[in-house]
Amino acid sequence: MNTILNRAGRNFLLRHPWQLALALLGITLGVAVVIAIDLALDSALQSFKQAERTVSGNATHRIIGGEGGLNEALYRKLRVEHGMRNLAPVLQTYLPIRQNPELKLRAIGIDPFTENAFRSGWQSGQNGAQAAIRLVTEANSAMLGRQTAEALGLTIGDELIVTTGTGDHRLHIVDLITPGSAAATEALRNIVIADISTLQEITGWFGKLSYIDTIIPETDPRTTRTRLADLLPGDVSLISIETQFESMQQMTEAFSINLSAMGLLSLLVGMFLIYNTMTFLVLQRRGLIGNLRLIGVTRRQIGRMIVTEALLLAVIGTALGTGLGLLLGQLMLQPISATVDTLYFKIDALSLSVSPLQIGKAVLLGIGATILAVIPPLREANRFSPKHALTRSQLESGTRRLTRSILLLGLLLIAVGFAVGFMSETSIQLGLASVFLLLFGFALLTPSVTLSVMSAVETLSGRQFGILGKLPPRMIGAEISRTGVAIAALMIAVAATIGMNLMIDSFRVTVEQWLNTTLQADIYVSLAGDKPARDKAAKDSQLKAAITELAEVEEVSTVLHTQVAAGGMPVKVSAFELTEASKNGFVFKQAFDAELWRAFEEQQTVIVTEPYAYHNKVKAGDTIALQTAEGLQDFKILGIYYDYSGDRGRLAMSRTQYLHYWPDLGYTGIGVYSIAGSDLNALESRLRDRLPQGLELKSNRAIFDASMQVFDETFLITETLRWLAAGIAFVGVFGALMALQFERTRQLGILRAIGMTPGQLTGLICTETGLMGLTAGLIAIPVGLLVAYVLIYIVYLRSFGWTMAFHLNSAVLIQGLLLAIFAALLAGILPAYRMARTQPADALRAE
Amino acid sequence: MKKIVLFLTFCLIGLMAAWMHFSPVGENQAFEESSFSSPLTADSEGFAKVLEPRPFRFPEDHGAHNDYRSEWWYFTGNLGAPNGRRFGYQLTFFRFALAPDVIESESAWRGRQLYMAHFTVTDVEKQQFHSTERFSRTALNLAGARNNRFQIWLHDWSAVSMNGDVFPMRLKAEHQDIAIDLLLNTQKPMVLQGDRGFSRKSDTLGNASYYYSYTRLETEGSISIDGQDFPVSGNSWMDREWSTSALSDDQAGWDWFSLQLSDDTELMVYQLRLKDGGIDPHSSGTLVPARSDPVALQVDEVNIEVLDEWTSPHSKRTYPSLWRLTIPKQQLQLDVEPLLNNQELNLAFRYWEGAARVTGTHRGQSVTGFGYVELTGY
Repeated sequence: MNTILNRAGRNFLLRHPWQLALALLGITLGVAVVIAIDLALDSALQSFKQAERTVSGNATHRIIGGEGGLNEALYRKLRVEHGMRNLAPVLQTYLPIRQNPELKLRAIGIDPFTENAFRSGWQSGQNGAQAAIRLVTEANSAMLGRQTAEALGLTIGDELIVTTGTGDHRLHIVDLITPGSAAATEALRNIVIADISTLQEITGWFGKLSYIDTIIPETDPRTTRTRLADLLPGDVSLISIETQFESMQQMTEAFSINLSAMGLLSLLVGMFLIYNTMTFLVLQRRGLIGNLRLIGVTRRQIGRMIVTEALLLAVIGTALGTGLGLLLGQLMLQPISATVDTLYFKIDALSLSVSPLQIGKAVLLGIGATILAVIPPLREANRFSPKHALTRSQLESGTRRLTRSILLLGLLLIAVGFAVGFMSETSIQLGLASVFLLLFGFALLTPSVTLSVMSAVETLSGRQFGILGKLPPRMIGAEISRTGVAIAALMIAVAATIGMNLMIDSFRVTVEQWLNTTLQADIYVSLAGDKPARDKAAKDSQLKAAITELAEVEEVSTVLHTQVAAGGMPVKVSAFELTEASKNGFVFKQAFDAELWRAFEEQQTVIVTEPYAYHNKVKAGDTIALQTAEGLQDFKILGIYYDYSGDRGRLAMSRTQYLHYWPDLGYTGIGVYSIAGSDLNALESRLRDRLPQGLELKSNRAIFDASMQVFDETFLITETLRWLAAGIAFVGVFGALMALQFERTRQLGILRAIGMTPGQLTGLICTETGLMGLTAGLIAIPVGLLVAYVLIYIVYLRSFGWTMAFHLNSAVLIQGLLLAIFAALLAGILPAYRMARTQPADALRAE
Repeated sequence: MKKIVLFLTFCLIGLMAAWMHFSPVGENQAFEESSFSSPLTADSEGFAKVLEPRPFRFPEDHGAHNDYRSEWWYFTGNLGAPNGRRFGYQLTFFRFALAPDVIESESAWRGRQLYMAHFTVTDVEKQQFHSTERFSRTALNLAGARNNRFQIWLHDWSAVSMNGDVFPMRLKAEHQDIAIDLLLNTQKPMVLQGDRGFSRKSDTLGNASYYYSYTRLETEGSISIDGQDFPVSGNSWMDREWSTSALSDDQAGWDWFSLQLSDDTELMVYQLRLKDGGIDPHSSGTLVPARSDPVALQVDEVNIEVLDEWTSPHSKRTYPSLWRLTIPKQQLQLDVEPLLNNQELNLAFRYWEGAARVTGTHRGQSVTGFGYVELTGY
């Protein structure tokens, strides 16, 4: 019996390859997007970790200072005076290379005579003592990973030409490193290893180390740890490498959750598609099912048949989805890590890492979603008595009754969605859950709304076009079980698109306004020199003096972006020398007076960016304890200002306050204010003549453009994913409409038979699909606005700590509406074309 | 000329140690000694050479001679706690010039000198032998030797004169739960080994070292093992040697003895073993009598008979473990037995160096004593 059942099911599926393909496509795309995002993000993080592990080996902790680096005398103090062991001093920088101008190699300066207990990539991958000795005894000697060398076409004895703040240098390659594992080899890509002395010589960072790695055994962590921590100056921190990884994971968490939400959105639309297909497969076979029930097949057996089919689809779809996801993940790896790179931390070597866990997650998701989507059609199949199963009208009237309960459920979901949204506190996940609940709730409202809209349209167009005008809305209403699903799927996709678009637009406008306010100077000079370089501060201050002396220059402001430590972790700090004009560049969250700026200059105070205040839960009047060489120092927060340059936040203090406790690292930027009425182009070219090579000069306009470009690049991924979700929705609508039209072959045959021309029929179908698109679009507009609202005021605020002004761009709404109509029309074309070409007699025979 | 061979071999050890240090094999695997002669006989071009006797100047000569390829400061000693518990220790600092030329640099890290140190403690009662090694460049004064007073250090291990002169000298070393803190005072004048401190090792010009010793250093201080401190006293021995030239290809290794007898006599003897099983004619020694001048010993005056053997459970190598030394001309016959068989240093360069007990007769009188034995090339 089962064999016959299985065969009946299989034969049916094979007779409807289109349906089969669409259902598979739905599952495949949904799973693929989820897995791709997961993979790409996780790989970016894993690549970073692997590189660090390869470089640091068994190190468990790291001694770090500010951006000016550690004083190398600290290393001697720890080793000689205090007998601390297992310390690996490292000097690190990034070097552009002549052989490939696109590429920056991470240069790691090491001491080859460090304990081999570290077992770092460069220790285990070396081929002999001779190379290590040459690193120490020969100037400009270096080692490369074998892979890197091969990629650059270099081998032992060749030269690598690198550029640093002190000019071009030729590094002689004395050895190629081949670490034991493939992962380590991968992680050593784009890394050049040299002795600390060589790196100091070519960068001019004399007396400096970037950090000191150390191994604190787990068996005795407290005593060694405490002892070591006690020996460090106040502005130097001992951090656990695992903690560092964790904080990086946290850093990217918001970004990751937001991307994953896009993947889930795709899957949600995919679920509609699966639901739709399975319903179609059940309904199409209602005759078959009725007959089977009549000959004694039980409900359980029917159920098993349908679940087996669904599982088969799920397994194939998930397998295909996983494959496609791997491919997509590879494609998305680059853009995603580029964003991580811009926003969070540098990733040197990138490789896709796939864990069984990720695959398992995707498989669970694909199969789970399919099973979930197949429950309603399954109930459908078993709801009717064998006799009723044979009649369609019964089904639709049943569905009409069902719409009411669905309406109620939808309203309930929306209410819960709002509740979750408002009560979600700081949780990003709950914020996103609220978005999903709202979307899903409104999707459930769609059938009811559609029915009302259709009866309205029917009245209107019936008066206008008679029977032909009444037909399309009636057809939609009559088959609400199918049309409703298609409209809901389309609505979700369009609403998500509108919501995302409005959010991005609002964000963009906010950033534009912020940039316009903040860029007060006429011309900005960027001094990107190496902070640890010994002569940077002196050179920078000479440069500042030279600029101030120019006749056209009224005054200059300066900033130094750097890092200090608070609670053992680095904190971004900007040290400002402000002019009256540049003070206008700060927009505070609360009211402030001139007193603020006086305190900013004269007292131990800071102002903090909005994301800083958000993530660290501080407010004006609080104090922040910063680590200095003179121990912990409290800085009072004067105010919170808007800043969209980063989502981790930063502190700003006056340069005077900064120099009390931290070393002069020169400037990051100088803002030049010209005397009113002077020719800015002339000033720019005079500055250009005066400036040493390698300094960047930008007008405030150019900075504005560059910033907006970064903004757009950052949202590229989001944009891409949004289109992907829309694509899946389109496939969903296409599938639903196809199914609908196939089912109606007989009905349309009758219309043809009673005298409707192919043109009229095409018009009929297109009007119907167009109406569906219109309905979806109309519902999507308020839902989209709501989604944008939740995204802006709940999700993004929580993810990144930015306040955005809601910017209502009506073009986005119209675009969404047109997108819905266009997608629906497009999906209707093929069925319309086929139906129009079908002979009425064939069509009538079809069922 | 005590340990010229050992010392020259350490040129190579430096290289090899460094290599082992980085190579992917386990931390405790030593290199195969069959391969050590090639780096040793490597080009010594550019380094200063030991060609003839020279007058020593102190304190300068206690410091580093950076133009020579290698150099060492070598301390060994046998100590006892008041309760009779016996300990042996070794603290040795080696210096290797990695290149003949100095590169001028503003970077403090640039340099060509590599220091290595070995530290061992033999705990006779517990039958335990602790050994460890360290490496460092001289950058930032992480390691080095001073020329204006006696001071040599590698990280926090050091041998430092307590006043402007040489003695009293304080030795300090610590690794995990093993530490020594000792005060040394000499009881005999410095012994210049070989010809006025010029110690030839072959007929080839330049195959020699500058070499002097303090053969009896009264020692007091403490040894701590696993957190337990033991006040100790006894005798130490110090050797100083520097050179540039290398081992010859036909030498397999050496057996070296530094013995301090109860009649205030000290004996230093070494035998260079040839690969063909013979004894190199450059093997020699010095007898330091209680109250007269040191006597140089020729190869044919000393007879060393091996009475027992021991196989290391770590390296599976078999070392001699009981000797009978006879020097008929000096009416000296001594049986030398390790205080502990397992005193093998499983470090980057693997060798056996350990505390030993001596019993025998000297000029008709029975004598006892302690000493150190060094065995390489097994």
